[in-house]
This record gives sequence, C-alpha cells and structure tokens, in this order.
Amino acid sequence: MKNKFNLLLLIPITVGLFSCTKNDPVPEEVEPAVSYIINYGDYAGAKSTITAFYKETGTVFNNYYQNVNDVALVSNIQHAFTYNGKIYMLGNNPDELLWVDAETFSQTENGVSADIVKPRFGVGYGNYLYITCWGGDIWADESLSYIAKYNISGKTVEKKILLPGGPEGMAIANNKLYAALNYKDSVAIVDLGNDQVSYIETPAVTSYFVKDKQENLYVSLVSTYSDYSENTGLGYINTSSDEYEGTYQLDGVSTSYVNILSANTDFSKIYVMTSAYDANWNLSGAIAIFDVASKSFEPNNLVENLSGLNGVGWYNHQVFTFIAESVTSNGTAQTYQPDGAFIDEFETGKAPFIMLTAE
Amino acid sequence: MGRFVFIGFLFLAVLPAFSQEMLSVSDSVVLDEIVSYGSLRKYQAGSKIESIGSEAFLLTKGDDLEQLLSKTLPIAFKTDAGGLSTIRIRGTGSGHTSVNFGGIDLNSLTLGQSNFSNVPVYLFDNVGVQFGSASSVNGSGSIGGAVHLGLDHNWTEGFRAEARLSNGSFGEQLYGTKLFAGNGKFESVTRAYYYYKTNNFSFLNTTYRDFENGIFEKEDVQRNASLEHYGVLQELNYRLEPGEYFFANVWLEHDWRQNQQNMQTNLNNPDYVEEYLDEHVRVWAGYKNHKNRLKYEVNGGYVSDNAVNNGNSTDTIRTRRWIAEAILEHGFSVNTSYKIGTKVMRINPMVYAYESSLDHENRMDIYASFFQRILNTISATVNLRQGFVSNYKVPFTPSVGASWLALSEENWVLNFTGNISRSYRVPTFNDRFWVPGGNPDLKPEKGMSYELGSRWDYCNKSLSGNIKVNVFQLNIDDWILWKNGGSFWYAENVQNVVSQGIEFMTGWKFNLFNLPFASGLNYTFTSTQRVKSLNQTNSLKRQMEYVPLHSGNFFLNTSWNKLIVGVDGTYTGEQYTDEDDKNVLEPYFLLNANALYEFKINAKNKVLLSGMIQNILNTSYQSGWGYAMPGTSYRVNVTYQFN
Repeated sequence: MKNKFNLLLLIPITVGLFSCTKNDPVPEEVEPAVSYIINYGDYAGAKSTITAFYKETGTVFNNYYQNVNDVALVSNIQHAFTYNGKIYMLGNNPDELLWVDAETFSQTENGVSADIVKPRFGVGYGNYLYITCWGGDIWADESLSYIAKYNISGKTVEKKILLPGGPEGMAIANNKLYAALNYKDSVAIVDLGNDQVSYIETPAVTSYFVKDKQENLYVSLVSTYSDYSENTGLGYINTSSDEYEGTYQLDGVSTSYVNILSANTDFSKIYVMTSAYDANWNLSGAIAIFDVASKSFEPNNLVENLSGLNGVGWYNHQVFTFIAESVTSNGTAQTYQPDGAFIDEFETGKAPFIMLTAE
Repeated sequence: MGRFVFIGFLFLAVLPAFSQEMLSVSDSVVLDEIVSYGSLRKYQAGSKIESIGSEAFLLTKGDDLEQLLSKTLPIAFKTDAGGLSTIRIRGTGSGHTSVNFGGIDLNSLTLGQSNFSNVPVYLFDNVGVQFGSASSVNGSGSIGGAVHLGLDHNWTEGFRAEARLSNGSFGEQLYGTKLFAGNGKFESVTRAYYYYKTNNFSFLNTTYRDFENGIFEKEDVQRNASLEHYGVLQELNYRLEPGEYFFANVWLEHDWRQNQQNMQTNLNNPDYVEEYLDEHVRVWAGYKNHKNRLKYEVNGGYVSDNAVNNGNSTDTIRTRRWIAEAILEHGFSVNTSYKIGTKVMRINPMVYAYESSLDHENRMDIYASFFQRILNTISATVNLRQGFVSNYKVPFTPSVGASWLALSEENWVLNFTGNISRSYRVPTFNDRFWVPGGNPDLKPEKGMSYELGSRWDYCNKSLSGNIKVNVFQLNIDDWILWKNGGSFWYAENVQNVVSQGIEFMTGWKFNLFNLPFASGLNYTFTSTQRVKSLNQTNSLKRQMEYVPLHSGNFFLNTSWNKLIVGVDGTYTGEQYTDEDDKNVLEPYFLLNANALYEFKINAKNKVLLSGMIQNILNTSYQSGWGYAMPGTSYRVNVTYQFN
C-alpha cells in the first residue's frame, strides 16, 4: 500500500518533468496538478492532517503528511503558505513553524518554536518570513501581539516587530507589509526597510487580504464580539498612496480564520464567506461573489445554507467550499462551478479550512 | 495484556468458590453503607444504587473522587493527570450525572459538569452512586446517574481528633485534620485539608519530532501541571431528641490547577502555563423531624461558584444559587408510605459573555413518591416530578420500579429488580445564554432508562457475598453539541444516542489461611451508539467517543493483626477519541497496591501508617488523547487519631 502510494506521489513530478520542452513558448501561469487542503483538526484531540487533491484525476489522499513522513503532525495548523519551494506551516498547540518540500511534502528539517507565540499568518519576503503572532491571550491584553521577523537561513526569529491590536492576515505589496488588525479598526503598514509601523484607519476591524493584479488590496471588514460594527464587507486599499479608498458593504462576513476570501485565477471575482442565522436559529454559511470590474457584490450568492461552512478556496477553475460541522468528525469539500452548479463532494480530514496551492 | 487481565479477573471471580472449604469462621456479612443524605433506596425500588464499602473508603482517603470511583465501581472517566476528570456513567456525557451534596448539585451551572478531581474523598464519610436515570428524584441533569456525597452524624460526646500527613511521588502532599466535639446533643465537626502536587512525572513523549536525526520519541517530564486544593467542611448539628435535629454544613473549597498541556506543547513550549481556579462556597442546612410516622424536613442552601481562567478575573465566571426545600413523608404502615416535596431555587448568573439583561433564573420542582410493599416480597415505588424553569419548559419525569424477593433460603436470597424512568437536563447557562452562540430555545436533553437486575446474596459461617447483574438501556434524545457556524460556534440539539449494556458486580468476604479477605470484581459492557445526528458523521451506530466497550476493576484486601494489605486493578478497553476510526486510545490495565498498619499507643491514641503504590506495572497509557499520564508512583500516609 505504501509503495503504491509512493508511486502515486511520482505522478505530479513526472508530469512536471515531461510536459514542456525548450521550444515551447513561455507558458502562462499554470496551476500545479496537486493542491493541498489543510485540515485544522481538533485542538483538544487529534491534530491537523493534510488532504492532497489531484485535479486531473479528482483523486483525494487524506493523511497525506503522515503517509509521506511516517509520523503525524503534532499541532493545529493555523496557516500554511508557500515560499521559495517550501510549504511553511504555522502550528498552534504547540506553537511552531515547520516546513516541508513543496513538491514532495517531505519534512527533513526540524521546526522552530522560539519566539513564535500563537502564530496566525505568515508571508515570505527576501530571506525573511513575517509571522503575525498574538503573543498570548490577545483578548485580555491587546498589546501582546507582534510580527515575528524570521530569518530563513539563520532559522531564528531575528526581531519582534511589536504590533498591538491582534494582527491577523498579511500581504506584501509595493515592498510594504500590510497587516490586518483583528482588535483595532485599522490596517498596519510595516516599512520593510526599517520595520517602522504606520496605520490606515478602517471602518471595522479587519482580518484578511487578497491582492489584485495592480498590487492593491481588498481587505475583509468584520464585526466581532469585542468590536461590533455595521460596516462589514470588503475594503479597498490603494497601496501606492496607502489610502483607504472605499467600502463594499456585505452583511455577515465570516469572522472565521484564514480562508474567508479567495479570488479566481484572472481576479475577476472574489469569493467571500459569510454566515447568518436562519429562521430555525441555525447558523449557516454562504459564499458571496464580489465582481471586481463593477466593484459590487452580485445579488445572488454562489451557494448558501451550508451548515458548518469553514472555508473557501479556488483551484482548477472551481470554487471549493470546506464543511466542518464539528472538529470531532471528518469534514468534506464541496466543489462548485463559477455559476454555482454543484460538481462534487469528497471527504477530508477534520475541520478543513485552507486550500493551499504550491508555487 | 488482555489475556493477563482476563485470567486475573477469572481468578478473582472463582477464588471464593475454591476457598469456601478452607475458610475459618467469619461472622461478618457484607453490609452496604447508608448514604446519609436522603433515603435513596426506599423510594427507588429497582434502581441500582451502590455505595463504597468502608474498607475501600479507608484505603483511599487521600484520593479524589475520580480515583475512588474508578477503583471501586464500574464507571468510566475521561481524565488527565489529576487536573480534570469527568464522569461517563453508562455511556452518557460528562454533564449527565449529578453530584449531590445534600440538596446541592455540584455540577457547574455554566459548564454543566463536575470536575471529579476537585472533590476530595477526605472530607466525606461515604459515597453513593445511583446508576441510570434519576431525574425523578434529583431533578435536572441525572440522565446517566447521580453521585451522592455523604456525611455521617456521629453525635460525638467529648472530643475526637484526627490529623493526617501524606507524601507521595511528584511532589504530592496532603495535610488534613478532622475535629469532632460535642456533648451528645450538640456536635461540631470540622474537616479541613490542604493538597498540593507538582505533578512533574516522567513519560515517553511520542510527539517528539527530530527529522534531522530520525528520532520520534523522547523521555520527557510533565511541566506546568501543578495542583493545589484546600478546603474546609464545617458541620454543626443539634439533636433535640432522637430523630429530630438541626444541621448546618458549610463547605469552602479552593481548587487551583495549571491546565496540563498535551505532550507536544509540553515539549515544544515548555514555559507555557495556563491556570484555572475554582472557588466554591456551599452551605446546606436544615431541620429534620423523623420521630413519627409523619416525617418532615425543611432545608435551605446557598452556593457560590466562581471560576478564574488564567488569572483573568475581569472576565467574571460566577453563579450564585439560593435553594429552599421542604419534604413531607407519611408512613401509613411499614408497608405503605408516600413522600411529597418541593424545591425552589433562584440562580444569579454573572458571566462576562452573557447578555447583561440576564439577571436571574427561577426554578421550582414539585415531586411525589409512593412506596408499597406487598406480601413482604415485593416493593414497588412510583416517583413523579415536574420541574419549572422561568421562560423554559421542562418535561414531566416519572419513574416506576419494583424489587422482588424471589427466593429465600437458609444461606441465600435471590432478588430481581426492574425500573423505568424518564429524565432530562436543562441546557446549561452557557448553552442558552453565551454570546455568541448560546440558544435560549434549545430543547432539554431527554432520557429514557430501562433496567432489569438480579442480586444473589449468600452467607454462611465462613463466606458471605453477592453477585449482581444488571442490564440496561438508556435512550438520550436531543443531546446538545456546539456546532461550527462559520463565524462562531453555536449550541444545538444535535444527536440521539442509545446506550445499552450489562453490569456485573460481585463482592465477597471470606477467610483463607486464617486470614479474612474482602474482594470485589466489577465488569461492564457498555455499547453506546449515536443513532441519529444532524451533523454529517461517519460514526452513526458506532461506539461513542470515550466510552470503552469493556471495562472493569477488582480489589482484594486482607488483614493480619493490625495490618491491612490490598491490591486493586482497573481495566479500560479501547476508546475512540473522535468520529475518525483511526484515533483510538489503546486499552490499558492499571494495578495498584496498598497497605495500612495500626499502632495503638494507648486506649485513646493511635497512629495509622498507610501506603499506596499506583500503576505498579508502570503502564504507559492515555485517558485523553495526547495527554501524558504518570507511571508508577507511591504515596505514604501517617494518620494520628485521638479517641
């Protein structure tokens, strides 16, 4: 069984080796043949697992990390991102940064825990990873949070950039680092030259970004228990002027973590995860569609009444929705055409929430 | 290991039979202790009610309630290394068993459950457990069963005292005292204790990941899992005449712990500390007049439960309760009696995450019980209870039961019992009022319990004991879970569960090699399945999580002159930890030994020296996924008793 599995692992590598020649024109950005679904797992029980999805065959492999590495993940992966041929994962409980080879998913080096306290989100830039960290019980003390500046070659956190207000999602645009603040109505801007921090005021607390082709940012505006706001939706930040240029109102933008926003390949649509109570007092989710050209939300959701909606992603020209009604049972991924037509459903690990497509 | 356990159980089960011919004379019979709070058995014919024998109680005084019950009764617990343990009677959830101190249910009104690690055996004289639904007697929450903490009235004349020092592995210390003073009419009993444990035990950490050297396990030491408990229980009792008395009990309890981290956090974030503090004030007082056929009592109580999470006292987690109860019992004759009562409670929740408009909740229960004995061989009871909760509807909970003395011979008697009862649990305050996610419109969880039992008691000059077999079915509907709502989690009535099984219990006293022995063997088969769920799950009609299909325990004690020695063991079968079939806890067997020696200094003074070795086989096991448990440990105790 293990041997068969290893053979299957070679498929995407083989396809990559033989699929182009010197005389071909420079191809446009091509999606990899495999994408990974990060399953958060149970904070108090079995930890994260990885599901591999092969788009050509529609094949799904659960427990992918464990099958490749022979051991299970021991933390709850809060965020995963790809950078310079590696997939970096930020784990909670225990807090750690670990990485695997982006092609083989094999882990050969030990992770790092020092100075990474309750990590939330990471991005790579130059020889550094920038990792937002709560630093402790952020809900009790908003001053604890910081951005860890991790030196990749030195394998150490070189500096803590203090950033009160619960930094969450980040994006790098125009050589600046933008951090959404989950406990403050602002977006922080870190000058990557001198690590100085400035702020852009927003009408609500913010959580995550998507970056358009012009390197400007859409940021999710959310209403939280500690910071209620009616100005929820998407905000738009011009990264050349660092001006907050507008709010595109949408009720019930999810306060869930990491994968509440996803753009399609040509950046014509942004899919936004929302949630609201139905008539029976059940909280159900929906995927709203933001049309980038008209800068407005479409009147109809892509899909709605999804119980346990836990994330949204884009891959293989399909919208992936992740369903996790609990963290004690395996979740599912449901795929939809851009017009909302249901395509397929398959089982994942517990609490799927991130679609990670390697570079 | 499984074969070893089976052979061990078999040996203990058949030992009495072989020993019968060799025994010397013993005039003792197995007598059940009486739980002093409430006449549990009389009005619940057919219910299975067990109390812990005095020997077991004597040898486990330094334990917490989880350790006592898991060693002596067929009850499963989910526990870490002493910080948090929750009960699972007959496959039910942690909030489905009430824990009663007089008329006070210790279960948290916010979380709905009790931490059995926070209840020290040292403060009590006896413990009784009712298996199966008991809401018709105890009200909300007793779907799986009810635990009763008992205090004996001694009506002390003069002064008696006890002091206890314990020291054990991993920095365990217990200091306790009991002071009894009285004149036969007035009595003051003071019980106080202090317990501390560093809890820095060694274990093999299987979450170690050294990819560079290919090493994936490592010897480790549990860090930041200290425990500190202290408490005082003060009794003041005044007896007007036999059967008529006033009583007042005040129990102050302080339970602090560092939340044990799972193995991977312990390893990778060694300085990570989370603290949790529970502070309780429990007062239960009353007047009882049981002199005549018309008996009555009036009781009242006050409870303050305060929790502080990780030192954050700004986010208040506190509830207060005021309770009043009146009970009237009338015995027409020895064969016929009834009891009626009412209990009212006002609850004042003060929790940071509730709507500020939630000021209080009122609850009232009215209940009636009827007892009838027929032909001296059949006892039948009917219990009726209706609860009322402000702005909330709870179901009517009746129960009927009977016991039948089927055969009675010179040396043995055979009884059959049966009971049908309905039960319920009002959703916790968190379930209904937590913002966000609480749902005031949740339905109560409802249980229906069916039980048949038989008990065979045997007694001759050299051997006495009993064998009890009970079969049960328990249906629980509208089991509440918290669901992922995308933005936040919310409470919902999600699943129906059916639990059915067999409980086998036997206990014997006998003489062997001129030594008196007491032994016990318990086994339970508990098939608990989720039969319906609103959640998408692969585990419908599969064994529920943290409910072992097979579990059991045994004990064997003997004494010689002033020395008592004993061994006990518990077996816990494989357990699922979630709805994924691959995440299971391996079965484990824990063997313990204990000894007690009594030095009599003179007529008034004596010293008891006792010791205990736990997990003699140094079994590596987990009771909760990812949480290390200690290997072999010891505890030695010195108890001085005056009078």
